[in-house]
Amino acid sequence: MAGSRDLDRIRGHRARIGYTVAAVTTEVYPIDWYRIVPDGVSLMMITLPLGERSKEDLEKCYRISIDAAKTMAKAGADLVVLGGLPINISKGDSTVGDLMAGLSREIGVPVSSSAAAQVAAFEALGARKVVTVHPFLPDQNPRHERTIASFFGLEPAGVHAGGSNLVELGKLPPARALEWGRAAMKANPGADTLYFGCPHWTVIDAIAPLEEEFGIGVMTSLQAIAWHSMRLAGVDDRVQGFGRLLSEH
Amino acid sequence: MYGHRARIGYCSPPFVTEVFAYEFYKMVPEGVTLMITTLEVGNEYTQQAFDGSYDRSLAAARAMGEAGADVVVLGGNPVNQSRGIENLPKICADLAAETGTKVIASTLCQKEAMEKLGVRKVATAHMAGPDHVERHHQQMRNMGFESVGVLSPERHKLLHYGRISEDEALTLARELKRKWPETDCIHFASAHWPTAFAIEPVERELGVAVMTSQQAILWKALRTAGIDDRIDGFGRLFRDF
Repeated sequence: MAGSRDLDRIRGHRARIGYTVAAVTTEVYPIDWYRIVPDGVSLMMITLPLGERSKEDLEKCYRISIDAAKTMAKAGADLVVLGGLPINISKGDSTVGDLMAGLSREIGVPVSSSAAAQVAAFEALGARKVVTVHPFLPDQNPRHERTIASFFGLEPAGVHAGGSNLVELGKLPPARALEWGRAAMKANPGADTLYFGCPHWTVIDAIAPLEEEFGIGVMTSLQAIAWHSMRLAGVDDRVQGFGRLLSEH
Repeated sequence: MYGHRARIGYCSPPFVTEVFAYEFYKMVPEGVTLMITTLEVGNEYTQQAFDGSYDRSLAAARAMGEAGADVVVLGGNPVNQSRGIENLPKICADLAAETGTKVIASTLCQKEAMEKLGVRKVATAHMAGPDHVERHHQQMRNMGFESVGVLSPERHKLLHYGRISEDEALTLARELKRKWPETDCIHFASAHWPTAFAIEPVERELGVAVMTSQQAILWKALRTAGIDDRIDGFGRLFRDF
C-alpha cells in the first residue's frame, strides 16, 4: 500500500538492468527475474523476433539488439545485457568481447551478455565437467555440446534434451526441470556441474534441490544472468534459495 | 506451470518495457502469468510507429495464441485508436477467430472499466507533456466520456517512464481534483509509469473513482480469462467488479 512505501523512489532505485530477450514473446523470464532479484532492481526488456534460429533470424536479432542497447542506455539503464547465446555468438565465438566493449564505449553504459554471464558463472562455480539439460529436441544436442567445449572451454559430460519446443516452454511445470536434471545426472554421474540452457522455461526451483541431491554446482542461464547483472551493477546481496552461485558468490 | 490459472498475452507498445511487468505481478493473483512482446513506439508518437506497432501486434497475437495464451491484449490506447475505435471490436473478433484465442484491446478495456465504475466526468493525468493535452481530451471523448481536464508535468519521454517516482501519480491526482472538482474519475493514462500504488490512496483521499490504463487492462484480461477474484488494494474496479 502506498502509505507504507517510499514514494520518492523509482521502481529500479537500486539498479535498472536492460535485457534483450531472444524470443518473440516472453513469459517465464520476468517472473523468475523478480523472484530472484531484491526489491529495487528492475528489468527493462525488449523482445527480439527470433524464429527458427536461421542465419537471417540471427542477423536481424543481432541488429535489433544493438539498437535496443542504445535505446536502453538513453532510457537510463545501469547495465545492458544482450540476451540469447546463439545471437551473441552469431558473428563467431571470439567476437562477443569486442562487441560488448565497443558498444559500451559508444553508449556510455556497461554492456554485458548472457554469454559473458554464463562464462563468469561457470568460473565462479569452478565448473570443469558439464552436463547440459535443455528443453528442446535432441537435434539441438550437438549445438549444446559444441558450445560447452568451444565457447566455454569446458568438458561436455553429456546432454539431456527435454523434447519440448519454443512455443510450449511456458507450459512446462517446475517438476520437469527436476526430473530432467536427475535423469541427466544419473546418466552422467561424473559431471561436476549441471547446466540448464535457455532462460525461458521454469528451472529455478530445481537448482537448490539438485545441488543438494548430487553434491554438484547447478547453473541456469537466467540465474547466471541475474547474478552477473546484479554484481556488475553493484548489487552485492547474497540471495538464498536459488543455488550456490547466488548465495555464495 | 506458472500460469496454471491464466496466461495473459500483452502486446506492449514501448520498444523498451519496464514498469508494466513489475506492476502486473503486484496486482494479479498467483497462477496468472504475463506473456509480453515489445513493439515499436519510441519517444515520438508517430503514425509510422503506431502502424509498425499495430502490424507487430498482429504477429505477436498469433505467436501468443500458438504458445497457449488464454487472452491476448492489443496494447496502447493511441495505437488502438489509430485504427478507429469503432473498428476495434471487429479487429479483435477477426484476430480471435484466426488465432483461436480471446483478443481484447486496451482502449475497449478502459472504456468498459469506466462504464462499470459508473463515471461520467473524467480528469486525466499523463506523462507525455502539455503538448499532448488535446490528444488525451480527444481520446477520452472518443471513448464516450466527458473529459473535464487533462494534466501533465513537463514531458517525460516514453522510454524514460521508468525514471518516474511513485509519488507523481498522487501529486497529479490532487492537482486534477483541485482544478476540476466536478470530476468523478481520475484516469492515469498509459500503462508504463508507476500508478498501481496510487489507486487506493487517491480513491480514499479524493472520493473519486480511479481508472488506470494498466488496471483496466489487467481487470478485463482476468475477467475474460475467467478469473473472477476480487482483488484488494488496487481500487474499486478490482474489488467490486
